Amino acid sequence: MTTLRNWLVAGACWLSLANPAIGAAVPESPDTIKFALLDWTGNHITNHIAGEILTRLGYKVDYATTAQAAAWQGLSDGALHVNAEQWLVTQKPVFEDLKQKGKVTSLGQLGLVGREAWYYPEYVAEKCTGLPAWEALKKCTELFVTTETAPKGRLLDFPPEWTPESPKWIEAFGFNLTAIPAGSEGAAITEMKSATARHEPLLVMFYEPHWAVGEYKLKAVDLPDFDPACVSDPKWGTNPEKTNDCYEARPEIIKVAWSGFADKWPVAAKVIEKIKFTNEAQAPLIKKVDIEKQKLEAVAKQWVDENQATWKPWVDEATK
Amino acid sequence: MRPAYLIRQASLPLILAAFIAAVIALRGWIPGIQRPPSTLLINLEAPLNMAVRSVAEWAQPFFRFLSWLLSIPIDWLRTGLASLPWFVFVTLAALAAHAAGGIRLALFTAGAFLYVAVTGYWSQTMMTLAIVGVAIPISVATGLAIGIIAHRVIGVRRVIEPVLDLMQTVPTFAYLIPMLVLFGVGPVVGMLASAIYAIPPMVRSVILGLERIPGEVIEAGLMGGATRWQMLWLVKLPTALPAILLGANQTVMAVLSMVVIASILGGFPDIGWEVYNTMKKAQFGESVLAGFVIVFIAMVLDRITQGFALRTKQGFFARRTRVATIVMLAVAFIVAWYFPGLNTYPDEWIISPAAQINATLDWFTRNFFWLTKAVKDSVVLYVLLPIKLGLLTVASPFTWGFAVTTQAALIYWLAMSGLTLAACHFARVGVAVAVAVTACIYFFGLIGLPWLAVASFVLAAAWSAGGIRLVIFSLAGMLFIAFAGAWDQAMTSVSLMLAGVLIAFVLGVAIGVLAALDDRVSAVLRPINDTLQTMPSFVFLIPAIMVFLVGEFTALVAIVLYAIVPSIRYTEHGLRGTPEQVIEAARASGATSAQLFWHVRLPLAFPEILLGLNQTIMLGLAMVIVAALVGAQGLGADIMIALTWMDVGKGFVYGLSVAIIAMIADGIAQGWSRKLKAALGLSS
Repeated sequence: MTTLRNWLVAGACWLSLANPAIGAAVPESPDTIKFALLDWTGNHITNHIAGEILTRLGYKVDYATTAQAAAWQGLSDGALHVNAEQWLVTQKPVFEDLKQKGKVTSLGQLGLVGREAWYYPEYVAEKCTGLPAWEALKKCTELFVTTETAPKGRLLDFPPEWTPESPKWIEAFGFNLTAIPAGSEGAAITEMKSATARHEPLLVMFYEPHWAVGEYKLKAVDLPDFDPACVSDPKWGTNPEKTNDCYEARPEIIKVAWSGFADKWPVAAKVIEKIKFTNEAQAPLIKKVDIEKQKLEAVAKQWVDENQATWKPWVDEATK
Repeated sequence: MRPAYLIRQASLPLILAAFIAAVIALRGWIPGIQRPPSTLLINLEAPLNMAVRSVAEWAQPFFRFLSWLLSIPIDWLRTGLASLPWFVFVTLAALAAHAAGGIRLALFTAGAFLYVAVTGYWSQTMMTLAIVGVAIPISVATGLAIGIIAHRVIGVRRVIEPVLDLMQTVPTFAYLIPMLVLFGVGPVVGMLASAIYAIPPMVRSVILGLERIPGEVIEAGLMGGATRWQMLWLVKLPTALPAILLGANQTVMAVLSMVVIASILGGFPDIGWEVYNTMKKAQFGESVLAGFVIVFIAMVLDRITQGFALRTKQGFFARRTRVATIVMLAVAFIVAWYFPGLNTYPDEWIISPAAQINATLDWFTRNFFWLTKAVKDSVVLYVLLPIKLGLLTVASPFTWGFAVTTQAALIYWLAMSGLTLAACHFARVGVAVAVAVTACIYFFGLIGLPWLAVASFVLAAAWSAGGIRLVIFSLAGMLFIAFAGAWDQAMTSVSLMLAGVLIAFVLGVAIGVLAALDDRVSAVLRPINDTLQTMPSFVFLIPAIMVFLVGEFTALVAIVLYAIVPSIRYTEHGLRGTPEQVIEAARASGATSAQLFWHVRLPLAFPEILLGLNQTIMLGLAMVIVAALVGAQGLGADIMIALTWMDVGKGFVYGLSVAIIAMIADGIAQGWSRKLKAALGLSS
C-alpha cells in the first residue's frame, strides 16, 4: 500500500503540472470533431489543414489513425466525423452503399485530379526510344524480363485488394507482359527506390498525385484516355476485337463525412464543403513532410498562416 | 534383416503409396480427385456475413458501452503521460527498474528511454504506452481469471484449449470488421485486438502452474484449515507464481507485437502508426529507428517483469528506498521545472541517423544486387516454385534449361525410388516415407497434386503422430477448407510456409547448436533474437524488397527471419539441458566429444528441438498477412481483399483456414515430439 501512495503522490504532482488549454468561443457543439487519417501523406495534409482551419474558428479537433475499413465504420457510427480526402476507385461501391443507407455523406469534390497509369523511371526512355507511346513500350517489353516472369516482361501491378485493371489492358493491347501484384503501396515504392538506385528498368502501375512520381522521376505510359464506349464497345479504340483498350476513368476524390455532421456542426460542414485543393498546391506540402521530414502539424499550420487569402473566403462564404 | 517386422512396419506406407499412385493416375479421369468437386462447394460466406453482422449489431450497445468504459483509463493515461516531463518519466522508469533488477537494469532502462527522446519519438512513445499500459493489465487479469476458472471447472478446460488456439492463430485482419462493428472505431478496439492475441499464453501458464502444485503443499493448506477461497489466493496462486509470471511476460510481448495493427483501427498517431507509415513510404532508416523503440520498450518491460518475478520474496520496498525514491522524483520534478529542455524534449536536440541508414541501404543495393539476385533466383527456381507448382510444370528450357520429358521423369522416379529403398534399409520406415512424400511433392507441387493425395499425406502423418482423434480433427479441418472453396489459396500459402519453416528450422537448429557449444555465440545471439521477435516485421520488409524485389522470396525472407528464433532458442536450451550424470556416464564409458554430441546430447535434445519446430510453424503461419503485403498470393492476400470489401464471411473462412492449418501442423509436431520423448525414455 505504501508504494501505491508513492505513485499517487507522484501522480498528483504531475497532474498539477498539466493544464489543458481550454478553447475560446466554441460554435454550435463543444464536442471534438474527429478527422480520420488514412495511410498516405496527401490525406494527412488535407485533413490537418482542414482541422487547422476549424481550430482557428474555435472548434476542437482530433485526429484518429485508421485503415480504410476502420474509417468507414467510424464515419458510419459517428465515432469519426470527417475524412477530407477520400479516393473513390475501389472504394466507390462501399461509399455508395453507405451513402444509400444514410450513414455517410459527401461534402463535395476536393479538387485534386487523380490519375492511375503505368509508370517508368525517366531513364528507361534511353533504352526504349519512342516512350511514352504505348506502341514503343510494346516493342521493348524484354527490358522488364525477370526470372519469375521469363520470357515475358514484368509489370508491377496494384495490390490485389485495389482491384487492378492491368491484366485487362495487357490483353487488350497484346503486351508481352505479366502483371505481378505488389502486395502494398510501400512495396511498390520500395521497388521504385531500388530500381532508381541501380538505374535499372521498372514498369509499375501507380497513381497521381503522389510524391513518389516526382521523387523517382516517373513518367506515365500513354495509353488512350478513358471513354465510356471503350469498356462496352469492342470496336472502339486500337483493338477492334477487345474492350478495355484504354485507361480507366479518372478517380473521383471527395470529402466524406458522417451523415449527422452537418446537423451538429452546420458551419464547419459548410467550411469543409468549400475547401478546394489542386495537385499543384498539395505536391510541395507532401514533399515537405516526406522528403524534407518536417512535422505534419507544422506544415499544416504554416500553410494556413501563409494562405489566409485562400481560406478566409471559404470561411466567409460558409458563415454568410 | 527382419522381413516380418519390416512388412508389418511398411504395410501402412505401402497402402498409402498404392492409394496415392491410383489417385494420381486417375486424376484426369474422375472429377473431384484433382480438386474438390465444384458442385459440392458450400457458400459459407453469405450466411456468415448475415449471421455475424446481425449478431454484432444486436450486441452492439453492450460492447459500445464497454468500449466507452475502457476508453476512460486510456484517455486519462494519454493526457497524464503527455504532460509528464520526459526527464521525470526517465527517472521514474529507472527507479522502477532499479527496484526490479538493480543498477544495471536501471541504466539499461534509462538508456532505452533516452534513445526514445534523442531520436525524436517521445510523444508517439507516450501514446503507445497509454494503450499498452491499459492493454497489459487487462490481458493479464483476464488471462488469470480464465485460467483459474478453467482450473476449477473441467468442462471449461476442455472447451478452452481449441478456443485459445483460435485466438492465437486466426489472423487479426480476418475479424477486424466485426470487431469494428461491435466496439466502434477507437484505441479500445486496437487494444482489444491485442488482448485477444495476448491472453492465451497467460491462460496456459496459469493452468499449467496450478496443475503442477506439489500435493504436499495443498495438504499443508488443508491441514491449516484453509477455506477454498484462502486456498486459492494464499496457497495455490503464490506457489504457482513463477509459472504465472512467465505467462504474464509472454502476454506483455504479445501486446507489444500488436502495436502496429492497433494503430490502424482508430488509434492515436503513436509509434505503431509511425512504423506503419514509414513502411508505406519505404523510409527504411525512419522505420528502423521507430521499430527499435518498440524493441526497447519490450526489452525493458520484459526485464522489469522478470526482475520482479525473481525478487518477489525480498522486501525491496524498504523504508530507506521509499524515501530515496520520493526524494529523487522530487528532484527530477524540480530540475525539469527549472530547465524547459528537460520538460519537453526540444526538436533541436533530436539526432536521427535515418539519412545515413538509408544511404547505406542504397549503397548495398547498388553494389550487391547481383549477388542477392543470384541467391533469390536459385531458391525460387529450385525450392519455391517446385514445392508450389511441381517440377513437372516449372522445369522449362527458359528456366532449368530442359523440359520434363518421359525419360527425365523416369530417371527422376528411379532415383527417388532408390533413395526411398536406401532410407528403408539404412534408417527407419518413417524416414523412407518422408523421402517418398518429399519426392512426390517436389515433382507435382502442392497445387499440382490432387487434393485427395495431399489430404491422405496429412491424415497419414496425423495417424502416426497422434492417433484417431488427430485424424478426425485433421479430416474435418481439411474438408472445411476444401468445401468452403479455399483449397487452392490454402495450398499456395502452405507451399510458402513449408519452404519458410523448413529453412528457418534447419538454419535455426544449426545456429542453436553453435550457441549451445560456445558461450560467446550465445551471448551475441540473445539481443539479436529479442530484436527479431519484437521488431515489427514491417520494418524488415523494406530492405528485403530493395534487394529481392516484390515476390514470394521476399515473403520467404520475412518468414524465416521471424520464425527462426524459437528453433534457435529451443535447440540451445535442449542441448544445454543434458543431465550432468548422463554426460559423466558417457565420458566414463570413453565417448569422444564428437560421440558425446552426436549420440548423447543431440538425441536427448531432440524432443525439445521438435517443440521449437512447432513454435516455428506457428510463427511462420502468423506471417501470412505480412507475406501478402510483399506480393505473396494465398490466404493472406484474400484476407486483405475481404477486408477492403468489408466482406465478413470471406474473412472468416480464410482466417479459419489459416487457423486450421496451424492447428493440424501443431498437433502433428507435438504428437511426434511426445512419441520421441517416450521412445527416448524422457517422458515423465
